[in-house]
Amino acid sequence: MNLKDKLFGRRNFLVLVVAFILFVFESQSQDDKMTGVLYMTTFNLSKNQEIPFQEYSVLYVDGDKSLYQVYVVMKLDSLRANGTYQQTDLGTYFSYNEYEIRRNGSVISYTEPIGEDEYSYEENLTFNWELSNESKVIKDYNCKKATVTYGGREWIAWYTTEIAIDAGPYKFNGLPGLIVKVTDSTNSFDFEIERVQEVVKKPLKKLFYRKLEANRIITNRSTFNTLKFNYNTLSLSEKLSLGSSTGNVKVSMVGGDSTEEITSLRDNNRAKNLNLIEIDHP
Amino acid sequence: MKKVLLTLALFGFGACMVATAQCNNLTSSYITIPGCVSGCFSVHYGSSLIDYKPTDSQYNAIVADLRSRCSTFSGRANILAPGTL
Repeated sequence: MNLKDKLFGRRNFLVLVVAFILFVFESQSQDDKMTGVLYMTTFNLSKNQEIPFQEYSVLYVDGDKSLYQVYVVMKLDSLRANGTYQQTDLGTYFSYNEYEIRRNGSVISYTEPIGEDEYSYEENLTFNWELSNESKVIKDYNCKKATVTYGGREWIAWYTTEIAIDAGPYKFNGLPGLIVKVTDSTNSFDFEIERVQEVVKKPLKKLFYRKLEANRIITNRSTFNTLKFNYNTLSLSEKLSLGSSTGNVKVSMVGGDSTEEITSLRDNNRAKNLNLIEIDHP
Repeated sequence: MKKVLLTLALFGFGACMVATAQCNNLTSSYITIPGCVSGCFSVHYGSSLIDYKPTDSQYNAIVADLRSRCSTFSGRANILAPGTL
């Protein structure tokens, strides 16, 4: 073998080694990534609410596993987890939707606090989507329509096969592509995509739970939704008095020359006007 | 220029002192709902007139109640957006 052949052989060998290293590195870096989706959630918690609430929510998807949480709740959890939390952060990062929704295949694990307690339930959930040929462009994505009934509401979803992952906001999944937008038929709840990006893999669970796992109340979806509905019909004083051994708890705004008691009486209209996302409870 | 900066710094410090000094941190919590209400809130147990600082879940319930009362308050004004996911 002459010098030219030796050099050529060595160069080929080096190219192969570099290509192999790059291939391994690329495979590993792809293995370290998952999909992050930011949604804008618009919702009315009362049937007579004039201006809807809006907040961002985040969906992390890794294969058939996912985590869905409201952004400010995620932010508050991170402050609590790293020990920099102050009580006023509860106001800054407030959300009516403190739930954590984890998905593993067809099993949804739902956790949400009510009052002083934290509840969890599991749900084996397969959405019975009705696919339609209707299509439209939403946020530059070519989308197709699908409809489903869940939680006592009719939902219209728009999904895109351009992002071929089976995932969506809240508990929604089971379509041939990412859910770009999903709205209930009364227009009370709407989730619409803001952006999609690759993110570094992290554990698909909340950063901070109010209660240790052993102290969470395990229940089922129906019982939880009844509890949540009943809690939301209570007056402020009744909510604050839950679990108190000293009876009635009142709240007042203090400071200045006067102390003003904040009262919100039990209101039968509150139950009538309450507009929770799942309404198929007893 | 230095005087302007000093005045601004003092004004900022003063405003900060007003915001933190207005609540007794042992007996009340500061709550602000932008465009709606701001102040110190205490809870009272039974017929007692003693002020107690709300617990975290009480604080959360008060914020939820105040927000729902602010019927003209736009949720749009207070949306915190993430930089990166």
